[in-house]
Amino acid sequence: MNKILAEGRGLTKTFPAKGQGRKAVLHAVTQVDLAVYEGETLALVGESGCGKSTLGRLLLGLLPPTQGQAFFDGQDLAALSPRDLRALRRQMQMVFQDTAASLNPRLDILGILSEPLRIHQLCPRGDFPARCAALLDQVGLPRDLLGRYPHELSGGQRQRVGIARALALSPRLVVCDEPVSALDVSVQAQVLNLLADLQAARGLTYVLISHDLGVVRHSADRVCVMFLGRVCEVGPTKDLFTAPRHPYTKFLLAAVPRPDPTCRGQGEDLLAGEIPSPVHPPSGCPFRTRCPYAQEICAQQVPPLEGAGDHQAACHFPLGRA
Amino acid sequence: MEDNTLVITGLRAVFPTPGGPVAAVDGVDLTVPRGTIVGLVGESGCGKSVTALSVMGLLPHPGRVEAGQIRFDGQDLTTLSEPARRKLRGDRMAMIFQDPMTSLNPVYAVGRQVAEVLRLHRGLDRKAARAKTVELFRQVGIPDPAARYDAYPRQLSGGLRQRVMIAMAMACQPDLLIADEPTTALDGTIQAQILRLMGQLRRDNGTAILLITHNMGVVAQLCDQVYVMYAGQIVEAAETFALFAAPRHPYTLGLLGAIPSVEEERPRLYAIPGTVPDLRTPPPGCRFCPRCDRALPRCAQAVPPLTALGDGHLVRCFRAGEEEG
Repeated sequence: MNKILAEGRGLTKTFPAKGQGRKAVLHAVTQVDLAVYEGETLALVGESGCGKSTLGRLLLGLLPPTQGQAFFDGQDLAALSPRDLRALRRQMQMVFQDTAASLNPRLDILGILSEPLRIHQLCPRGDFPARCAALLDQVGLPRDLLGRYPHELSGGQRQRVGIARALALSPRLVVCDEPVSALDVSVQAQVLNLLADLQAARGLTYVLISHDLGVVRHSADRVCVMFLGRVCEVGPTKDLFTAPRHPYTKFLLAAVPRPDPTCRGQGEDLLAGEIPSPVHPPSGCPFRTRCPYAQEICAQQVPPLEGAGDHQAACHFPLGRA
Repeated sequence: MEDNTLVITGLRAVFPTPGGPVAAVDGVDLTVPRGTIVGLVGESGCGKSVTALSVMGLLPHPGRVEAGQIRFDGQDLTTLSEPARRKLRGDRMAMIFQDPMTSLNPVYAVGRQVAEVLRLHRGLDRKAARAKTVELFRQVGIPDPAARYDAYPRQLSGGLRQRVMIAMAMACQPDLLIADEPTTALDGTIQAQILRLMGQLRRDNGTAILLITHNMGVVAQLCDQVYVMYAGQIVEAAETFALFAAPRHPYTLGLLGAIPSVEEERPRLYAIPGTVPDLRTPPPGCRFCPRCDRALPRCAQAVPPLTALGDGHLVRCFRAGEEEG
């Protein structure tokens, strides 16, 4: 396996919980150990509020962890001076879901794409137009968009601009937070294909945050399933989709409506109940209140992430164990 | 009683814009047989929501229905007065939306909002409306329904809010429920619960449902019939099993090819080239022609008619009748 590019050790993040008492805290991410290997696509999946976006930001050092450490290329992000951290940021970039919010509406596309070049002083000002035009070529947009503003572009075009901006600094790691969930299926396919092409051409490493399991199966080499701030299961994509070990992964997969009317009713084992509150997570295993297999021990002990090889699950009674 | 709850013919809905009128819906024919679930699928801007709002009589100003008939249980809604339509809405026809937070009033308890429907349309007194509302909450699977009566929308999760909306829509046992992307804002496991609930409502109450969605998976799992819409027109319609077994319009084929599967790895997704046409200046011929890899010269000149291929499978494509291969 390749070397580790980014890593979280014991990452924990809490936020003050608004309106729920002075001392109430929301447990967004709890005790996460996770490695991202150079050149791979690692998907973070889970339902809203599971902590996948917070974990992505912790790995980039965009949020300081409450506990634990985030490493990039062997360096502890918290130990770096602001100047060194900024220099390191060139190597890690982010693509956001909502392009209407993440692209400055008052800048034209040239202004948006040259901003990272200007901040990191990568090339003389006179070279900006040529560099930005080359970036547009790479994401399959016509060069004459340079003078346009974000609102003049379609959603798919704006997301390509977002990707071009992330590429401007030639990063090694790109965290893509729901990059296609605001797009229509036909445009989504274009953007997913583009991300794959760019990875192949530049040897990029992706952390793909997504709630769409089809997108994940298509794009990811490895998958990390999260529930209520904790990792439930992590493993190679095909293993995890064909033989899930954590009950939550199984139910999540069963809940996806298949575009095939002949396999109706296969999702008969539907998960009941709602997602518990991250302000008052259940004791022990966070999933136990919805889990049909839960026993006494699940309320008492947090199951450790364990398993042979690279496929691990945090469950006292993992599925498929002989 | 009519066999069909809803029959739309030649519907044309127009929005005036500075660049000229835009026909968001241009000649749509659609039928919802009694007690069935009919899917209307397409991507953003294809006109599926405008079709739904036209049926409900809720088109936002300055949009208006310019032509066509909307027959609900045999009665043409386009000829009805506004008070008559208002009487139908919430009683015999109801609608639920993608985002229940914007459809519920944030300053009233959710139970009261559902009870209001019963008091208005059924003339129930306060106490009876409350009892009936709690019963409805129980039917749509809201846990602890009596306590939830007094909850405010923001105190409920997205899934529970959508259940409240469904309870409100079902309060008067409507003949027709229009559901516009009812599960799009919900998480996967909750979406599956809501889809199952809608299937149950149809079985238990015989409610016909027009389900508007962009998700082919949702259609495949729930609908009896499917209409595929593109740029304001129906391009393909068929019974669900027939459509998924043998999609015939290049747009439908492209949509299905673009969905990443959870079941298998595909090396590359099929991406439909180009983008949706600007409806202010729609292409003169087939509206999908500029993006179609099977287009012939005549596709750019004439609009293909919606042609029956047998078994009620309708396709708007000059090449649909050709043999495969």
